[in-house]
Amino acid sequence: MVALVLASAACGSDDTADGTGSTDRPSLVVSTNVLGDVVTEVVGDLADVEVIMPLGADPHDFAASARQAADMEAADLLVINGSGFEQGMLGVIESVTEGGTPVFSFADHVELLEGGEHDHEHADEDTHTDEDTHTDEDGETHVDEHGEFDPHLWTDPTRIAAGVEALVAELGELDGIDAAALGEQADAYLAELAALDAEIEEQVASVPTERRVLVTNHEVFGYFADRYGFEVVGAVVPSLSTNAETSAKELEELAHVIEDEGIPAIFAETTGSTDLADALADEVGGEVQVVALFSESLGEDGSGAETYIGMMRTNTELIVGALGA
Amino acid sequence: MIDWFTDPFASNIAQRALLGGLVVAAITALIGTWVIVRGLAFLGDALAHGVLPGLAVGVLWGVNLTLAGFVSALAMVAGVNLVHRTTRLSDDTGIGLLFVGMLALGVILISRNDTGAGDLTSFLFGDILGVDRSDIVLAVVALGVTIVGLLVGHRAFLALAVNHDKAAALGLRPGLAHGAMLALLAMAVVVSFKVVGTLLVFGFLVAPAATAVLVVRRIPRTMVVAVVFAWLSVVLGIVVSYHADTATSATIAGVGVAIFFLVLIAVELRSALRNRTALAAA
Repeated sequence: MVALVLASAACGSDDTADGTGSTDRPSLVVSTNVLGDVVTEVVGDLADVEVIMPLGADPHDFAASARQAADMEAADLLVINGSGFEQGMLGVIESVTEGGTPVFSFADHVELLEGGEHDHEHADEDTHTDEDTHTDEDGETHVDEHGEFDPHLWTDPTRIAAGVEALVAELGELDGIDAAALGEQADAYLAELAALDAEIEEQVASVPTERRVLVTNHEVFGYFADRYGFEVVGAVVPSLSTNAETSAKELEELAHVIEDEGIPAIFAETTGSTDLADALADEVGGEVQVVALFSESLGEDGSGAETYIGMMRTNTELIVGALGA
Repeated sequence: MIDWFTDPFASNIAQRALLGGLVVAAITALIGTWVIVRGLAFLGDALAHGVLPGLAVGVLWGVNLTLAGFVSALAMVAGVNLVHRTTRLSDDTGIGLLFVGMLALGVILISRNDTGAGDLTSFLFGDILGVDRSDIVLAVVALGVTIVGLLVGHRAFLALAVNHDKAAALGLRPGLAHGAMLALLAMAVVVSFKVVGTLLVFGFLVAPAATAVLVVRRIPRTMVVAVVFAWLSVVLGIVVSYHADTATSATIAGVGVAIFFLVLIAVELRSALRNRTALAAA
């Protein structure tokens, strides 16, 4: 019975390869919708782009369906964020990689920040467990380098630009892509990214240095902080992943920090619950507002965060609005 | 129409998922038959959660997950036995205590892991699409052990199911037989967690065997029919999840339960029809 199904499955694969239509253009599959927009802007009509994660999905949790896994496997290039960001898809990404599908990971091409640089008392223990998990998992985990480096690299447009340059080099090698046209489009997009970077720099300049402090829901704006001179004071969930939990003690400590430093806002994310952030704001008192940022997913039409650039712009406005005098 | 069935299995990922799913479904359906016959369903469910602390420890300290999960499941069985022997509380109270205790311990351990490595969701619901060759090899070995164990222990298991005292009188060592059966059950749970997750493995243990009991009586035959129903759930589950874009492991478990109720309705209808014709004839 197994043999029968597998045999018919093998026939099936030919059908689908023919059935996908425009076979001359390379097919790219991108994991997150944020990078999906970046890749779509860069390649335009030169390749088919499929984005796996829907709007508003929590990318740490999101698990691909069987069909999406099949599309990932069949892609000419699978583009991922990497550094363990797509936690719910790690198994599938690993399978796809082992199966020989080329994978481009943004994290491999930008300068990553180390994770866990928050000043919580467990910082030491954490780094230890990371290493242990690593050395010793009987060759199971190649892709999941989670925990060591902060994966939220897109919050800094210059890092996205670095990733795009590397991606263009890799795309140029694919069969059936017009490398010259690709180069032009990529240059245009890189110019937009440079303009975005300058614009954020300018906006942020209106926030006095001592007010450039971020308290976020989980540790998501490290690269933004790194680029634009903010300090990440703490996170409601002191983890690089939304899949962790906090304790009452940690929340209370953070509440004290917020109170003592007079921090005006807690930045939550549109992809998850703000319950904890709200509770923290209550604990601190009336002056703290909870602001939902488009931190890990693009927004719906009309949200101002339909594209990567729009998302960065909207987030900057929200941050500057909340922290500015 | 045939494409509808073959498309989902076109990718290597789906083929590995299918193969892993079939092997795991066979293991759980076989041991699940004893779970149903002996009324151990609650213990089976509890065992499925008993592996969680082991998995958490495995992730945190880089110990082999399968081994850690197995030890954790055995610790849970030992705990249930301890409550059973030393108190007047009924078995299900002890199981319930250990169930919640192990589940809570597992979640606590995992939540202290700030890196987010090995998240709870993948333990609870599994990642059938991430099944790799080593998982399949492990499952095949476990299937072999299960089959040998069930063949060797069959008489003892049967005596245990019928009458504990009589089994002892026959020299079939009921205590040892019970322990061996729980060890096989623990192994089934541990090998399956990667494929179906600890929450859904229970569905794999119970649904196919329960369905089989509806249509056949003798235990060896029940096992064979249970495996067939389990395989049907795996194949249909993958096909449905592909076309409906739903979570694969959950769809397989759901299909298994749906098959149970369909078969139940069919059996009831048939006996109702038979009664009516019998009445008409009289």
